Amino acid sequence: MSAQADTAKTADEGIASDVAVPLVMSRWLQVEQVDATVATLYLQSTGKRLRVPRPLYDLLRRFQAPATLREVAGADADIARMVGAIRTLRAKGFLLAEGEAEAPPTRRLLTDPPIRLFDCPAQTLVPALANVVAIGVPCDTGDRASAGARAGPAALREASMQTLYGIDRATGQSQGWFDVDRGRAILRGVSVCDGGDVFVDHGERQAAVFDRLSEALEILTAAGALPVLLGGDASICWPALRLLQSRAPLAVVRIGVLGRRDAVETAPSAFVGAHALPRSALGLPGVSRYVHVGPCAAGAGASLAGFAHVPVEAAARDGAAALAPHLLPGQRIYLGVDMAALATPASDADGVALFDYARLHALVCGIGAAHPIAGLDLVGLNPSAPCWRTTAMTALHLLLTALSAAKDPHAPQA
Amino acid sequence: MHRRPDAHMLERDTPPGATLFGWPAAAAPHAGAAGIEVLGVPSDAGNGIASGARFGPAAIRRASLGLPARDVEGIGIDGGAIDRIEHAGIDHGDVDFIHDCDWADALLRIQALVEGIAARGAVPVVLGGDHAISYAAVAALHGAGPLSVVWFDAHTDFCAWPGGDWHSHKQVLRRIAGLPHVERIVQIGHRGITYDDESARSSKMRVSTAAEANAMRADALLDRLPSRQPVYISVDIDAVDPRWAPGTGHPVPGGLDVATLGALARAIAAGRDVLGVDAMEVNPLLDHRDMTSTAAASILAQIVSGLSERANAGRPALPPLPTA
Repeated sequence: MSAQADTAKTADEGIASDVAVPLVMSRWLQVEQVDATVATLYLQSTGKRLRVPRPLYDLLRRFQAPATLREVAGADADIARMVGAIRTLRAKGFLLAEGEAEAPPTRRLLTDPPIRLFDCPAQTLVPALANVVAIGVPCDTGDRASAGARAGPAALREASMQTLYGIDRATGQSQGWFDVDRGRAILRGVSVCDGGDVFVDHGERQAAVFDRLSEALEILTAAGALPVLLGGDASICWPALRLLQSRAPLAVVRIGVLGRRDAVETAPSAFVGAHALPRSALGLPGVSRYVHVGPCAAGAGASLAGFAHVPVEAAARDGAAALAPHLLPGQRIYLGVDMAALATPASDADGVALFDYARLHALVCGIGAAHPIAGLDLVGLNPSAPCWRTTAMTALHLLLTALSAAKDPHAPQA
Repeated sequence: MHRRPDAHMLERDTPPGATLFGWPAAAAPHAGAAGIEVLGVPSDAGNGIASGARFGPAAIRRASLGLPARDVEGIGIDGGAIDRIEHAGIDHGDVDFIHDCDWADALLRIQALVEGIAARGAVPVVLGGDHAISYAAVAALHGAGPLSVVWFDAHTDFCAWPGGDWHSHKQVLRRIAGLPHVERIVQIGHRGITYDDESARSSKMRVSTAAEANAMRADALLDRLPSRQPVYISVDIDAVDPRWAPGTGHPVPGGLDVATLGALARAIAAGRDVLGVDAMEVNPLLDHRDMTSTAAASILAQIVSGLSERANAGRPALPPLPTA
């Protein structure tokens, strides 16, 4: 047999197999765009995109149920002309042989927000070289009182468009901001980036979300960036606590509302609710102290070794000095701020003392002056709440204040 | 000679009775002349972020009708002052051309209306609306210079001005500082986290932070205002802490409380010749239970009370009471 005849035989056999095998469209195929001449296809499982001629798209649509190429093309079709395109679709996963195993969609850790915090640079999923990396955690099922906070990250980012991040053209460094109340520049030269939101498939187990957050945090902070979580409810700090205490010993300082004594005392479980944070955190080997600052159910946490409660009145009066008896000097801390501790126009605190901005501002500055801050969160951001615009602007001020407390050297107390 | 703004320029559908403090509507037959003339400017054209301040004048008027006679949010208006407030002014309603012309042209027309009020010897009280409106009101007092401007505001409003006839509430004070008859600006209530240090944007301006203002005595504030120099008072409601005045487009935490701001403003009204007043940036769409419009009305009540006090002390700030 000649070489030419041999090649033709091989090609015929290949075509024969393509023609005979029942094929089916991938279940992960999405159509992004179709017009009279072309179609753009997207394969959700791999993230691949493919632009195909409209006739090929029309042919592909006929594989919604398993069928052979001969069946869908018809007896008179020039099969040989179609085989190349069919092979391409198969090679890229848009078409499969009937019964062929198909990879599930690529596991996504983060999603890209439409607006970045302060319009700072976006951060891809690699170790951030910026000083601060923000991650949104749109999750609010860990605290009954935080309904609506899953929309907090997006809403806070939108509000932050009034407080933009800027780069000095001459130095290439962050311009920072100016704190009028302290009469000083803040965060000058401190770079900030936004890693996006952790992917949440509402209805899945909390552990699945938190595992994704843990993995993203580990990658993003591998080069030393300070993690800042935007909640969400207070429970979203749990993956950050796990990670940061594994790197070095840590104390937790949470400014917020701890209203359920029973939950504080609940035995550790796979699900970490906001009110069970003290017990869960103190169960971590690297966490020795947990200081709750703000309203707290009477007696909550009393049986927990390492737990301390600082009431609003004491913190408002004495600032960070009120925390000193409960923390080691210079102890590395994780600082969480729950907006539930802030008095707002719509606060219905039923006689419970809450913080005003000036006191919180002073407290956060004082904490930063006394302790290195390894991680931050700002939670309880609920854009459905009355006067959200006001609360959002206050939250942004507190966030910048906390960042200043963490990153500005020798920040004097307010 | 007393001449009122052209009737066709004013809203005709202001609900009966919805005038500031229940004063007579200027067009009413029994209105007569008054020492204070109110003009509403229902505009948010100069606000780049939030619309809704266009409903501010109506909300302030409604809130003013609900003020209790004494101890409103701790403000403590005495009964005598309330009596005088009830007869001190007339209300022209809202201008009706805001959405029929360009913003710059609207400001010129507002300026002309305020000039008319000033020419009658009355004190214009302008209800906003966004703060860019204050430029027109201050510009209208060009014959009264040199003038001091007291600017209650969380912001310095000194953003860059690209020139031309562009007006925004973010650069309104920069433009006012450029008016030749404005000699000094006392800015009170600046605070929060900003892009830069804005405390020295003009040699005419002295900035006091909210923290300083909360601890400020009224006589210390008066010391910054020459006793023989007329004054214009502008109140951006965002000078008040957003916990008490959330309904405004650019809230900044850590502000003054209503009582403190009201007391400072009243002291100025009672201690200096105030030629004009405004209350700006009340946005009912963002408000909660009318807190913000009530705060604005309360502060205006304090200012009017101070004006009355000065008039009763023999100063020519207020003409004789109108006859009903």
